[in-house]
Amino acid sequence: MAYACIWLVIDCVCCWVDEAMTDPSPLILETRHLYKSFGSLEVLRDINLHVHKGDIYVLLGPNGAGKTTTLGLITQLIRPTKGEVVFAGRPGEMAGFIGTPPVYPHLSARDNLRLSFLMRRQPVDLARIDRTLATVGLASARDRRAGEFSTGMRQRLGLARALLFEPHLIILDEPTSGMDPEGIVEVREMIRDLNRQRGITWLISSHMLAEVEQIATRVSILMNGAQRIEATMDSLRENKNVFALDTPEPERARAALPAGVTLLEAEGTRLLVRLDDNLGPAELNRHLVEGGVPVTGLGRVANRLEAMYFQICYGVSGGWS
Amino acid sequence: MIRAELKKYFQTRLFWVLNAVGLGLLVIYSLLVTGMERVGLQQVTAFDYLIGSVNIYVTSLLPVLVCLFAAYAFASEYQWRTLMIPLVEGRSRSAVLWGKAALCALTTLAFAAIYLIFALGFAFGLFSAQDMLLENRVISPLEAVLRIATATAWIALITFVFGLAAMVLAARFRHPLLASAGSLLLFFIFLMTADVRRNPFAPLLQVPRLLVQSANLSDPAFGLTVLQGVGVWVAVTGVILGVFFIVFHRQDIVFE
Repeated sequence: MAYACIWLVIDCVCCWVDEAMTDPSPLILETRHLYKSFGSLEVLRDINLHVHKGDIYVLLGPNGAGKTTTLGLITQLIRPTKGEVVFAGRPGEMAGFIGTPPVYPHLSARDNLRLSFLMRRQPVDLARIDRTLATVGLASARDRRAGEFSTGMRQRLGLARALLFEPHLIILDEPTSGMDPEGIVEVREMIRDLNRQRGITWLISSHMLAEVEQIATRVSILMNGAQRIEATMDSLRENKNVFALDTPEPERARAALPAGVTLLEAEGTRLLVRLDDNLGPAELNRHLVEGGVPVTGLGRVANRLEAMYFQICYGVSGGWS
Repeated sequence: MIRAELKKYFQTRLFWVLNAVGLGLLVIYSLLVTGMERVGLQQVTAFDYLIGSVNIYVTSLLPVLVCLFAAYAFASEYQWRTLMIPLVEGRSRSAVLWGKAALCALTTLAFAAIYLIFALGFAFGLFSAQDMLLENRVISPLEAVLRIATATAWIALITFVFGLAAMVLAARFRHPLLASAGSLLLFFIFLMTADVRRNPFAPLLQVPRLLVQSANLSDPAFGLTVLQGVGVWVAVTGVILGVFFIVFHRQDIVFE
């Protein structure tokens, strides 16, 4: 009996180690088969997000894809028709805002943040409030009424509220909307810094593919209320089977492509090809050279998020780089 | 949540404007009464003045102020999108709802108390405070003030229920004027039907009437009326809170 117990414990430990090895960061938020209908209109179907601790997770999709509704479901503002949201944290460890940041217009920026302490029944820490306002660049406007703020300043105040208690997960809907280019860069850097230095996990919806590409660690693309893909940025970038083939005789090269190679695009002296998993670039090179096709270059291409996005959403390839 | 609610709404201009409207009514009433006294139309005591001014206020203006404020306090959270702040941070909808209900209660008491304090000041500043004959008994000014204050507090409790109703309508329709108008309509129906026979809500208004009209409050009939009034109040408040709970809990909170 004792022998069996020891083996059971060892087995459990092995399973745990195995799990930890394959996925070192645990899930902080998960949505399981989320569906949402407004009346007879189904706006979301079968949304399964897996946000890991330490992620900068970005929801992408065109207008009306269901990004904001998904965030509404996650934050419990909207009731799901079916499915569930699992947050591996305690109340108060999630913060953020959806759409235009909420502010009390008749109160100053400082008083807006002071309210967050009162809502949590915590003593007001003015030093922390001032520090947080300085972090988002609102130190000089701390005593101004929030109703007088520009859109960009409201975004900053919304960010300050989200950051105030350094939650484990921050949810933001279009956080750089209405900001000037300097503000966009500042917010991007702030998200990245807080993620790296304090381990804050971010769940963000965004349209700005170039911005997303620079900070996201994991993305999910929604289209017409359905989830098209969920993947890490690394796996998307890797694009391991797509190669650029440079040759002065592209027509001959096209004709000589062996089985297992798909031509994606041809432009000038460059062919873009996808290789099947059982075919390597060395074999392709040997096959072409033996067939008398001069090959001046053969290299893996990195995927750009923009290209991948259009491919997934609309089935058209954008520009490969 | 209660401290946060007070911080949010006691700093709004609306709260002070509505109080100023109440005090404006007090000033106008005082001018009318002192004017009538000066030309010898009426002999007024502090007790008469208090009953008159408080009666006008609690049955006509207080419900308007409370319903307007309560509807605004809920609808503005949608307008400013601030309802998402506690919810995103993990506060339950019940906590939000109780916070609003407490705000409504405290605001109603504040409106009533501020008016009453000023009315007392005007009463004893402008008129003589003397013992008063009520039915067959002489009561002291202190007892008179206590009776009026208790009656005011009782009516404030009734008004609070209509403030809650305004919040329910604001949660449903998100329009402060529509919500306060709907709730006021209910209040005036309640007021107009108070004397209808077999009206189950009648004890609610009988209590304040007896407080200012009956000399003998130690009568068991008065105690029974108070108990009936409390029972009706608890039942009505419970039903409205239940509806509030259902409306708010089932709602998808989406912003324009």
